[in-house]
Amino acid sequence: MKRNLLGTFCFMAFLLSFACEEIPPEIPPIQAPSGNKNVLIEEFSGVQCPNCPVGDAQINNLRSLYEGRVFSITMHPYATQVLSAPMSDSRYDYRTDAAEAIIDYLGLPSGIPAAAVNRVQFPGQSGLLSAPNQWAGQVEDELDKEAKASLFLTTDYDSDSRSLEIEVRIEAQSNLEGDLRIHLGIIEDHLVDAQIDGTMKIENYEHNHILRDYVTGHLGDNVRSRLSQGEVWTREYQYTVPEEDGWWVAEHLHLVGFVSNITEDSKEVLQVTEVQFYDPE
Amino acid sequence: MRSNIIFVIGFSCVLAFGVQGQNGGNYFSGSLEANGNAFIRDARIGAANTPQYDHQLYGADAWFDMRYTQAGFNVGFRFDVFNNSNLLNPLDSYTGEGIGMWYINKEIDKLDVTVGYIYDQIGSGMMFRSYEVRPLLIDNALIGLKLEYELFPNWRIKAFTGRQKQQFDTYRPVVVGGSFEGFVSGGGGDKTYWSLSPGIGMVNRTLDDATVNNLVSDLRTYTPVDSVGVNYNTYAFNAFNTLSVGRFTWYAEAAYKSTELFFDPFAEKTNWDGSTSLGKYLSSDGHLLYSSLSYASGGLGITLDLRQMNNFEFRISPFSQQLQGLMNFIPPLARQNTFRLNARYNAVPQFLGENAVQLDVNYSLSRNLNVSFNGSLINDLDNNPLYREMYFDVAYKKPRSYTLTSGLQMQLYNQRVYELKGDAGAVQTITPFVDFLYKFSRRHALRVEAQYMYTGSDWTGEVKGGDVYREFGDWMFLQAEYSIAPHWTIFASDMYNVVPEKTEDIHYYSFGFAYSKGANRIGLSWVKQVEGVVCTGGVCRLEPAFNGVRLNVNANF
Repeated sequence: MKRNLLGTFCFMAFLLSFACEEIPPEIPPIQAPSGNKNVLIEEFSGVQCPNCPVGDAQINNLRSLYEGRVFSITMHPYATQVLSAPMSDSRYDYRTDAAEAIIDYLGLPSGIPAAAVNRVQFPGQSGLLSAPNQWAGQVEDELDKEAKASLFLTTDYDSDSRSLEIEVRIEAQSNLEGDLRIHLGIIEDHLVDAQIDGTMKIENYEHNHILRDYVTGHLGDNVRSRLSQGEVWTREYQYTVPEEDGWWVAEHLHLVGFVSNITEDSKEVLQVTEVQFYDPE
Repeated sequence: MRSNIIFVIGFSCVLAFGVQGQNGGNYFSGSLEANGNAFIRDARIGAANTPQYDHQLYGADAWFDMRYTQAGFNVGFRFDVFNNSNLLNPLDSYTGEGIGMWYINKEIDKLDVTVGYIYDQIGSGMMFRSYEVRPLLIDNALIGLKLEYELFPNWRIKAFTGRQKQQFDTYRPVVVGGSFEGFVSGGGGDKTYWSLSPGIGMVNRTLDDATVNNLVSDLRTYTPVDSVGVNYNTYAFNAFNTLSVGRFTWYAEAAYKSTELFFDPFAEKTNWDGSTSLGKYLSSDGHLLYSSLSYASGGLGITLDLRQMNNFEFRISPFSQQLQGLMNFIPPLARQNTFRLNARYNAVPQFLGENAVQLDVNYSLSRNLNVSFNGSLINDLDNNPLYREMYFDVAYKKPRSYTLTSGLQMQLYNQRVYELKGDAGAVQTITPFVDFLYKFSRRHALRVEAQYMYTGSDWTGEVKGGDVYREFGDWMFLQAEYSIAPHWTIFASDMYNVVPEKTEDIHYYSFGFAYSKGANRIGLSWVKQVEGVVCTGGVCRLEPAFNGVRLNVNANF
């Protein structure tokens, strides 16, 4: 009996060994997205965060691969403590109250870099934020969707007074209900400063898409609780771009605008766009 | 929630039936562990900017276990409560409650059947272990089925399958595994001179479609030079044995993990714009080799441990991070220190590559005098130093009067690697310590411990360029604990940054008391704690500073 059992065990182990072959999944090349919804990646980062350059690189890759369809805002909050605090030789302190309010609103991550992709909670996620290795799939999913709203930004910037006039136009592509909000943020590129990368410190790291300020409230301004399909909503904003030594360089500034809809179980970004408002001509 | 209610009603019915039919051999047992925290903001030490410090102010965690045995059935469940808890993510707040564990177990002849939440391991657990570490909120039980069969006396075969627990949900990948373990011994007459406990094991993890699709989406963004494939299945195999001959015991284990995708934060990746960055997926197999040889005779005990790991990070999903989704248990190969300053720097196991050796010697010179030594050396696979520790202590005990323990610990701790703090370096410490326990009477005793951590040395001579990293600077710790048996313990301690490097000089003081009566214990303390790597049960995590009041309640029945 015992010998039979042992024999059966060996035979089963032999049979199981045939199951070790599998047909692996294919990795197809990137294709043009089927939808017209753009994607906003809101990344939380820090100058003392060794893995944060991984997040920056992934954002750059996604922006390159889906040019004009993927936009990003990189934020340095206070909540991530020492990881986002400037080092002794840092030129700038990138932390802002806006970043703090937004990370508080989206939920604190267990580590950074972490980002929200269109503020959507994807299957298998416990919150809105995820690590860089999950962004590509989420971006792909969102790009294949049809936008429920269109967003148009028109800007007029006066270099002398540094005054920025903004006209916002939202057109509902379907019936929208909830707490609709418009968000307008100023981001800055080409900020060269120290950054920890893995176990190294890079003295001249180029920080891009850094959140400088919000023209609207940090969590957006109310649009309306209901917009019918085809209905248009407009509003004008005025913002004076601060003048500070070394940064707030008009050539490097962009205006990012997005519309979100807050319902009981969602904070989803419906559409996003970006404009460079400084025109040297 | 509905399933929880159904389960509790079902469990209550089983209990009611059991109580009515009690005829000996059936019994209840259980326990309660409850912790309450009041968070008091102190931005100076970094106890700030989390929901608990900013607006929640209070939090609690509790586990209530109940087990019942009757007529060969073993059943149990555990109710878990997390309110504004900082255990899952020390930087955020987690709230949830429900049935955290249940199981039904029955032995049918030689077949042992368990369904529900399964805690088990194969070999030492370094290839596969499902376990719970409450202070770090690790609970990676498998939810599924386990069968164990006694093929011959002392020879058992085990098979299990399930999905790993994720708080009150489950991860989607499926785990299948099994082992074959036994025991043989021999010798002359009635005496056993040698014994063997050999075993082999296997675990398979199959990724779900959603996880693979996510991976594929990410890998599609890789440039051709970094392109890698992905598999649904990963296999791990191990063989292990404990050989005991006379006064020697030798445990050896070898484990192999088949090719799988894993994220290496230090691998160089080429981006589409031609730039490079660190961190990408790699596909490779991995292995772990471990040996532990011990000798024990009279008052002498010697243990020599050796371990090599290469690409042996084994998680339920490539997306799992930090302490989440671990499928195995690999403790640090270094001394588990208990004194506050001696335990400040811990050698977190480097799953992707490490060579480690540890020697532990304990010798009793007489009934009253004991000396012990521990040395550990851990390098990465390129032989760069990660951790060094030399520990020596002498303990003298005067019966019914006092016990004095004193010694010295020296460490090198590569903080840049262990805590991924790129601005850090290798901290080297020299820490003398003393622990004195004085018994005034059979009921009254005073215990005082003191340590001083000096961080300015280069005792190993291994720090390149002589750049000694001091992190926070020098520390001093003093604690006094007065106990009145059998009920009361009162303590007060202070950890002081004597020569501060990072912050102003701050006293991290704590004080409190504990009251025990029978199977109940209540503790209340004020705690101010510096940030650092905390290791519990061999698992480590970087914990932020804490400031506030802690209440602990424990009960067993």
